[in-house]
Amino acid sequence: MIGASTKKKFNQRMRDQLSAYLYIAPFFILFAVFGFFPMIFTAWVSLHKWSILGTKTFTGFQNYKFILEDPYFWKSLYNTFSIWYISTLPQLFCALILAFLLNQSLMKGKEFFRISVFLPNITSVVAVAIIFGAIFGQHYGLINYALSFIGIDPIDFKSSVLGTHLAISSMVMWRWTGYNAIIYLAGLQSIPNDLYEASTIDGASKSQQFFFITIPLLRPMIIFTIILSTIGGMQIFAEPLMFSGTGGGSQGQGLTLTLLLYEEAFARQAFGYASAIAWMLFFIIVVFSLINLFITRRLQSAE
Amino acid sequence: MVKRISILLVSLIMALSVAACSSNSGANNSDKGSTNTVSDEKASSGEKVKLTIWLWPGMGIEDQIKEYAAKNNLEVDIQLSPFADVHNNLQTSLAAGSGAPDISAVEVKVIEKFKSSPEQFYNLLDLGAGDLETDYIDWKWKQALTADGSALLGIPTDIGPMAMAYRTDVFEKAGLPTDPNEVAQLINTWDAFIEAGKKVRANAGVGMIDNAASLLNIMVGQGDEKYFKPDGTLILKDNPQVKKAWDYVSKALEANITANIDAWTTEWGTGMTNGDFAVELAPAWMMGFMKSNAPDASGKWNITMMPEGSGNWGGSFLTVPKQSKHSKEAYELIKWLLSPEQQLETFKKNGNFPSTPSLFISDEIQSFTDPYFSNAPVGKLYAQAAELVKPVWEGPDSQTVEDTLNKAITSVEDKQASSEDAWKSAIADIERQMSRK
Repeated sequence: MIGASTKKKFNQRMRDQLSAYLYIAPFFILFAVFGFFPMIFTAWVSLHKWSILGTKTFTGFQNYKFILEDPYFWKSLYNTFSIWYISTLPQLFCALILAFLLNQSLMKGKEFFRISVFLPNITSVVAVAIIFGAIFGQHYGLINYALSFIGIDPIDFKSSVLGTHLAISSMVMWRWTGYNAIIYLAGLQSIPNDLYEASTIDGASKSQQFFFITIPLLRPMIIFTIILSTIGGMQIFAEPLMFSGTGGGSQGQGLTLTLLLYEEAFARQAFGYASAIAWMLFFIIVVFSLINLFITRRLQSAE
Repeated sequence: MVKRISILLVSLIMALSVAACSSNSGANNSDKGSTNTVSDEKASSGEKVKLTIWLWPGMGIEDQIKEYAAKNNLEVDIQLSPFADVHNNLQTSLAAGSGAPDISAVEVKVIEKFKSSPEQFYNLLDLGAGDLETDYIDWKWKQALTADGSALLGIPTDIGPMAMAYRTDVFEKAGLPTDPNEVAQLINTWDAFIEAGKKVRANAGVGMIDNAASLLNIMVGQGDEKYFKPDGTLILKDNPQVKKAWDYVSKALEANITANIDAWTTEWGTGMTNGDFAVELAPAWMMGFMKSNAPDASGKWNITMMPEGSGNWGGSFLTVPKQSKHSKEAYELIKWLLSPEQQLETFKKNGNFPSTPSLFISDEIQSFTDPYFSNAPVGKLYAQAAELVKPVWEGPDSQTVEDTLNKAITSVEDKQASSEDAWKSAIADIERQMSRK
């Protein structure tokens, strides 16, 4: 009798455990197939010379050595950071202002404006890139057309480094400012109204309220958006591909890390080399996440 | 003012139409019409063989495939994707071991790469293609043949003999002749081309040619050799034709005769419509692209022979990947579709020039004129150009070298580098890329 009851109990416990594992299994199976395996396989491929159709030749860390000597790798690293910097800072600032405006109680038609700022985010990135490509065109671009009224010669955005970075950054900003604004808006709505009321009684102006109440209380949201845009910015791909073409323009002015990876793999069939770039990109993102984590911790302890 | 606004509107509409077109093709849409036409009879017949076919837009053979399918009780699924995607997808599915179509179009530069893995495709010689060899131009046939001649990867579709399309209105403004024969006589060397370009710049205020890269590629292609020897050695530095072409294009850039408009962009189509460049060096298949990119310029273009001979740009093959379960049906379709009779149909409809020389002297080609090009005898002209094409060895990495050279000359055109520096850094780039292959 005793034996049977412990057995039953044991079964029940095992069943509970099993069902728990089964509940979490879908994620882990999918992650193993689409996340973990490709990562390990990429690491393996990065130690080889491989044209994808032929056989792999083991070359050790040769590909990584090539990367460090490759001027285009360093150029693409610079471009990636430059575009990330030019797009993220103004973007987050604009998002903050937008969210602040959307949160004003005197504003009419709130729902409409909230939906409109989010709309750019759900448009196809390829369509966005084509439209922006036309806007920044040298001969028939809208911007140069507008400049012609005030007597400024047409600017060839595509051929210069700064012009290309500005154009690509503007696409990123157009798509993501509204998204970040909505996140900030959610944060703003969680700030208790009495803080504003109290400061109004104390005679604080609107801008004082913004800088001394809103921004400090939004800190977690701001950190979250910075982390998101860092990860997104490191992987920027479709915009430069559509704006500058596969090679990133005549001097690689639009070549970002992921674009270089794509070019090596699919234009030059150097899949081993491309895999090595993927792992370098992985390390760079890890380093940046660690820096982010460090800054976040310090900010939190400063509170 | 009104003109400016209309230019603005045109560029907007262009942008929108390109957006619509690319999202359409980007989605890898299967051609709905194809399955519909066949499904009508589906009920009556039993098991139908279904062939999946990968093409890119502008090949102009979809209707003929549907016609064949309807006659031969086949079901076809024609999937159009952008040019680069067709090749990338094919390569990926071959490597993955599944997902490849029954028939795929492959361009000449890419078939050079696939020739190192012939086991991925049906050897069409095994399916009886040997009998067809005499139908096709010798050099074109050899492009799909492995080095030892034992395996044939694809049957030739069209070839891309080169001619020179020019804007009669711009030439007139520039004080140049507009009659095709006179133009060909006046611009018979590249020196004369640059001289004419100076006149166009001075009198008409526009560029002679769209961009420096297109000029460079075409001039390089006129030599006996290109970048590689058949044994794979890089001869870029030792091939006088490449350096000569580079120096000529640099000279053309000094004379400021390019419009600096990249090919395949929205501005390119607008420039073609408005006459922002006087000349487009056009392989036969370009005619179809010009008509669809600049339909409003109909009648303003004329076409004549190019300076210093002709050349070949592009042209493709239809292949049967090894993954196909219906190689026999696929081969029969290709054989019919690329027969001289059907290639003539494609030419008449889309301008793609046949790879079967028996047609060159036929009345239908010789008397074929095109209203878009001021009723020029384009059939006769391209047949003449095709005779002048010298076969050139490309090699598997030809595209990599060409891309790098194009970028380098564009940086000179953009005034971001001197001709000498750009040449040196391009050579260094190419050697570095080849060393880690």
